[in-house]
Amino acid sequence: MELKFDIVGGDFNLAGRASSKIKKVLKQLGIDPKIIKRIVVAVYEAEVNVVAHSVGGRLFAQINSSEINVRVVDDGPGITNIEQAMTVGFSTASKEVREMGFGAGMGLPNIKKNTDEMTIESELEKGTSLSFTNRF
Amino acid sequence: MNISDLAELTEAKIVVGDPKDPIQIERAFSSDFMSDVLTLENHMLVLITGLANLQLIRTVEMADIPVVLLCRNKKATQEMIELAKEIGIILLESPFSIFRASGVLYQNGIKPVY
Amino acid sequence: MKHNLKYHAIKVDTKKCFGCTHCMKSCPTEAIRIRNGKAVISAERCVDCGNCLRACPVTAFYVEQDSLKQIKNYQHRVVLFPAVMIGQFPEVYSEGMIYEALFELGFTHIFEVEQPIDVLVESIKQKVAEANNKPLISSFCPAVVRLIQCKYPSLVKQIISVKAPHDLAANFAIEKLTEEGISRKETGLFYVSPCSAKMAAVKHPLGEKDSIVDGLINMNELYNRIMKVIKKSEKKDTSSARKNLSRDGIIWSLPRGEARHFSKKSMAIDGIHNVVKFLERLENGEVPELDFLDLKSCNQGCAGGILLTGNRFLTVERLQKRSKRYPFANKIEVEGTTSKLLKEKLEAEKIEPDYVFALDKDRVKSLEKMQKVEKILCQLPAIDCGGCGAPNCHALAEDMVQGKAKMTDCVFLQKRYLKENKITLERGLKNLESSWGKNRFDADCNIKGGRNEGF
Repeated sequence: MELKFDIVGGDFNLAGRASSKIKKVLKQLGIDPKIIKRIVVAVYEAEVNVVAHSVGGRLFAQINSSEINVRVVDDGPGITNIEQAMTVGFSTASKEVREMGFGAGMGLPNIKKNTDEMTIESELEKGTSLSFTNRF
Repeated sequence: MNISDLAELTEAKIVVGDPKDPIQIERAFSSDFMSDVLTLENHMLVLITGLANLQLIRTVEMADIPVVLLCRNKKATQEMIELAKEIGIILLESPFSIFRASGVLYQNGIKPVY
Repeated sequence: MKHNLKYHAIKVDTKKCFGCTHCMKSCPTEAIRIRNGKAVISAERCVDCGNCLRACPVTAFYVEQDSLKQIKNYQHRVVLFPAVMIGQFPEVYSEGMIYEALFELGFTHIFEVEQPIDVLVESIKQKVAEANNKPLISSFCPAVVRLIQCKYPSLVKQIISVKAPHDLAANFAIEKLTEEGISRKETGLFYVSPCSAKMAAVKHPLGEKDSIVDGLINMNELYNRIMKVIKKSEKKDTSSARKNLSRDGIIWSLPRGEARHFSKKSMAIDGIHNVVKFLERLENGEVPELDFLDLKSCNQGCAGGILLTGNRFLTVERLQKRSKRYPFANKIEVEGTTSKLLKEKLEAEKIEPDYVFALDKDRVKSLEKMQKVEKILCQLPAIDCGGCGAPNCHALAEDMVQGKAKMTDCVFLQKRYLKENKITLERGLKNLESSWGKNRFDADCNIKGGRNEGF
C-alpha cells in the first residue's frame, strides 16, 4: 500500500498529518503497538524537520505485510554537514521555531534510534532525501 | 450486448429474468472463487461460473453483479432461483464449458474486466 | 483474533425502531448499521456506552433487566446500589426515607456499593507507586475499558488491575451477612445498575463464568417503584446501614471522584467522545506526565448514566451536598476481617486487546482490503449522510470489502448509475428497501424523526 503526503514548509498546524494517517493504517493492520510507536515517532520527526527547516517537501510511505519504507524528500535548502546534523543537541532552527518548542536538535538522532535502517543524502540548495525502514 | 443475444450465443436458458431486459452487458468475469469477485463497478458485467450454490447468489448481490451465466450444464436450485428473483439478478444456464462460453463472448465483443 | 462473545445489555426494541440515522451517527465505534429498517448493533464493536439510547428520538433502545418479583424467592434480600442513586431524588426525600422505601419494597439489607472505598483507594495508590508505564487508567467504567480494548489496544496494559466498586460490593455484602450468621445460599443479591455497561459487566464479569449477584435491576425501574411507596417522614433510624459510607465513596462515580486522590498529577475526562479525543493524544504521547486517569463514558460521570432519572447536573449538586455530611474515607474504620478479605478480592483479571477494526485476520489480505477501500472512496461522494445504512462513506467502503454492503447501497451513486443506465430503478429501490425496510418511504404520520434538541 502506498501513501503520499505533501508537507508544507513552515506550517506547524498541519505537521503530524502523515504520522497520524500512518498510525491509523498500522493500527488497523494489527501491528504490535510497540513497533507502531517507533514508526510514528520517526515519521513525525521527519515531518517536523521538513516543516521547520525546509521550504516544503513530500513524504512517501510503502507498507507491505512485513515492513514499512518511508522516504522524505524536500526542496531545500539542504544540510551543510550531515554528520553534524546527526549529533544530539545540534540544531540550526530559527528563533521562531525554537519558541514553538521545536529545534532541540534531537530529530535526526531520534529517527535513527527508532528505525531499523536509515539513510540520508543532501545537496545544498537542492534539498534533502531521507529514507528509513521498519520491520514488523 | 443484451440478454437475449447473450443467451443465444451461449445456448443458454434464461432461468430468472426477462429476455427483453434493457440491460447492456459490456464486460465479463470468469471465476469459481467468490473471493475474487470485485467490489467496484460491476454494473454491466456477466459472471461466468460453474458454482451452483446459494452462496453464489449472495456474493453476486454483494458484488453488485447483475447477470450470472451458470455453465457446464449446472442447474440452479429452487432456493437459488427464488433468491435471484427476490434480489433482481438475471440468471442463465448454459451447457457450454467456461472456456467455450468465455471464448464465444470474447469473440463477440465482450471485454474483460482486466 | 478470537472474539469472545461479549454480552451486551443494551438492545433494540424492533417494534419502536423505525430506522433513522441518529443512533448510528452517535456510536463511538461505528457499531450500528440500519438493515431492513431496524438498527442492528454489532456485538463485536459495541462498548455499551449507551450513546445510541440517548440519541434515539423514540426510545427504541432498552437495557435488559431482571424482574423485581424475583426477590421473593430469597429469604434474605440484599439491594446493592451505587451512591449516585440517592442523588436522583428531590431533596425533600431524605436518605432515611429512601432506605425505608427500599425495605417497604421487600429488601432486607441495603448496601451502597462505594462503602469499602478506602481499601480501593489504597490499592490504587499502591499500583500507581509501583507502575513503570504511567499514567494508569481507572478500571471503573466498563465502557471505557471496552473502548480501550478495541480502539486503543496499546493502552490496555495501563488499565489498573484493580476491581471497581460494583465488583467488590457483592463480596462486601456477603461478608457483612456472614457476620450476622446469614449464609450465601439464603441470600439473594440484587445489583442496581446506572447503565448498560455496568449491567453487562456485573452480569458477565471478565474472566469469570458466573455473575456474583442473583439479579440485576435498572435504576430507573427502582426509582419508579420507590417513588410509589416512599413516605415523607422517617419512622426508623436506618443510618447504621450507611455507617461505612464516606465522602470519597459518594462522589467516586462523579467527574474527578477518583482523580482527586492524585491531586496535581491526574486528569479527569467525562463523556465518551471526549475520552476518545484524549486517548488519541495519549497514544501519540502528546500528554504531560501523569500518574492517574479518571475516565468516565457518561457526561458528569455516573450522574449522567442512561438509567438515571432527572437532570445530571442537579444529581451532581445533590451528591456534593450529601457527601459533605459524611466523613472522609480514611477516617472510617472498616472492620478488620472485611478489609482483609476485600483486599484479596481486589485483584482484577488481565485485560486483553480486542482487534475488532481489522479488515481481515491475514495481514496480506488486510492490506489488500485497505487498498480497495481507498479506491472505493474515490467513487463514493463523501457526503457521509448515512443513507446507505452505514454511518459514513468510510464505513460503507469497509463494509463493502468485507462483503457486507455494495456500491449501489449509496443513494447518490444510485442516481448516477440510473443516469448512466447501469442499474434499473427497481434495483435501486430494492437496495433502499433492504436498508430501510419495505414501504418505509410511504406516507406515515407515526414516523416523524428527531430533532437536535440543543436549540
